[in-house]
Amino acid sequence: MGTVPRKVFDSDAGHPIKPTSFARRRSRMLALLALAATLAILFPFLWIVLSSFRDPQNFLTLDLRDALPRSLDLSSYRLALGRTDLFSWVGNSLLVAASTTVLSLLVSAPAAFALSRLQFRGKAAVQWFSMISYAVPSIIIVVPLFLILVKLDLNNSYAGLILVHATFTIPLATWVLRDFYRSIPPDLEEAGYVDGANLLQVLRHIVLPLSIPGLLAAGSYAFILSWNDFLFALVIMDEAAAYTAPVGVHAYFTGRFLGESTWAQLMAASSIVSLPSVLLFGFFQRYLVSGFLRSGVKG
Amino acid sequence: MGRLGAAESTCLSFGSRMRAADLKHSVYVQIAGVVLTIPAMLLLALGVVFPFVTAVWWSLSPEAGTGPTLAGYRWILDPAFFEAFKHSLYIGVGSVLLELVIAIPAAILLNQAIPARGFCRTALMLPWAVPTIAVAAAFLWLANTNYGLFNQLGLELGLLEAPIAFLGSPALALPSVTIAHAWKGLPLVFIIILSALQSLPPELMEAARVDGAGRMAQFTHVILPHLKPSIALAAVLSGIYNFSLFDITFLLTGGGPAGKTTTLPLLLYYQEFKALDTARAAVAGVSIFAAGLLALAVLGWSSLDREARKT
Repeated sequence: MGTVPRKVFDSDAGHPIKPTSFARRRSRMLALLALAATLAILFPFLWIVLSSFRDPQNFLTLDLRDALPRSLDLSSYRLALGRTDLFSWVGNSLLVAASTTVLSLLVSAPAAFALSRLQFRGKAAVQWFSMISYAVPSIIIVVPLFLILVKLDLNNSYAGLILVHATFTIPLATWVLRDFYRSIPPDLEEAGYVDGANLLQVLRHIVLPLSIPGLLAAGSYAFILSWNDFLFALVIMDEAAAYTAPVGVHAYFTGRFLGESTWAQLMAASSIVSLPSVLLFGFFQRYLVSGFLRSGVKG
Repeated sequence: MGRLGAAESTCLSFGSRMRAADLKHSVYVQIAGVVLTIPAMLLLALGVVFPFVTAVWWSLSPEAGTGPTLAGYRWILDPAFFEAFKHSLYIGVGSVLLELVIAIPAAILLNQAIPARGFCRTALMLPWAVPTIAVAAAFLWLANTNYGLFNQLGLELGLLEAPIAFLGSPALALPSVTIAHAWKGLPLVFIIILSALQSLPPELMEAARVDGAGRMAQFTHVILPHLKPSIALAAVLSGIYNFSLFDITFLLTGGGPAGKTTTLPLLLYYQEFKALDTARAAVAGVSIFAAGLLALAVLGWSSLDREARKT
């Protein structure tokens, strides 16, 4: 009977759980309902993944029984990777997202530490500034940014795209890390100061090792945002060899007559492009949720 | 005590333990605060504020060499602009309504002590992590006229007589695109409402139960009033997000059929890269920003109003 929590009070809901068989049955029914609803909501995504495992030669079928994969057929993946430059696009995306992540952590971690631990003049201004700059929707700044990059000769370059991605990953990474630093008590750092260490030494030997979970969370946040970006990559990268994965997939499949195996390839390609984000999300969702409440406006 | 003294007494979060001899420490903290935050501020200033100001400037100078003028904004009265605004508004409002209809019951259900709760909560956040290119691929495939699941199920179950081109029909394209936006935006609304529910004092529900309130009465008299500010917040944030989102519409329909799904972000994009009219693109951009700001202002004003009525 392991399905019902043994504890008397559920910490989240605060309602006492009566261990009667009626309550047990009711909570099981509700769980079934919740699972069914969750599956229904996730269905569009599950449907791409399911479709990607079908036989690409028999993809456009009018028979509903053929709409589900019979076995784990990987031909669609082989076709997608063989006929398109998906391999190199994914490589480009990895380079951009990983660099964006490193850059935003390098910049955000010190800022977040200062915002959570130091009382300095201008702190409120810094917080407001990052909030306001995050609230500017991407679509408004994409054109000026593009033309600025052209002037700097950074358009169509990874460096340009990485800098642009950093402008929306930095505020988020800073918030996630600031909340993280607030959640760890300053006792250890105090002990460090008492022992005569200066701020830099405390940062290096005490704060940094403690920060690893926060850095992982903020880092996966930045990675997902950069990896998923379509608009900036579309505008800034105009050479097919330099496309990121989402733009490459768009460029390859748009306007192409979507024949039998092309649809199958699109499903496989979409699954591949989703995989890193979904995996990272699965691993770090616990930490990501705190930043979620702030992530509203950016598109 | 001057400013230095005040700074000293609060410097670091354990100011009370600092000795007076550490006065220089507080100056040190001031400098450290600036040094540690300046890289982030510089990048944001160059990468967001400067381009934003540039866009505003372009929107005010439709012709090179003349002084700033609002003449470029006359374009707002153009039917094409108004149509695009209407489509964006439709997507923003429509997707929020869909999100709320799904997120509120889902959050209430997943706020109860049931098995599999953690899994469902996490799974419902997944659409946030799915790249827009995959969201578009999923809906393109599901809504495909001849082979898509929606049409096949509809025909099989006798709900449809002939297959429907969901994304190709002038009447259905905009609602279809709205559904895709709602799917992508659901997690944000869900998490805001769920965290509001978690802050609902259990005593309040207990009191309502003791007073004999049924489930429906509990919902309308206790839960809903408690959720109201969060619903407003979620609606405005998600509405702005979907109002100004470019990717999904661009990937699903490209603005078609016959411009029936051309939103303001798409209009901006086409003005810049097809019509090569940077001034108009800038006008569209500033208008998108202004609309978002207006929605936020209404939200702020109404919550201030609520506070005022409380006291």
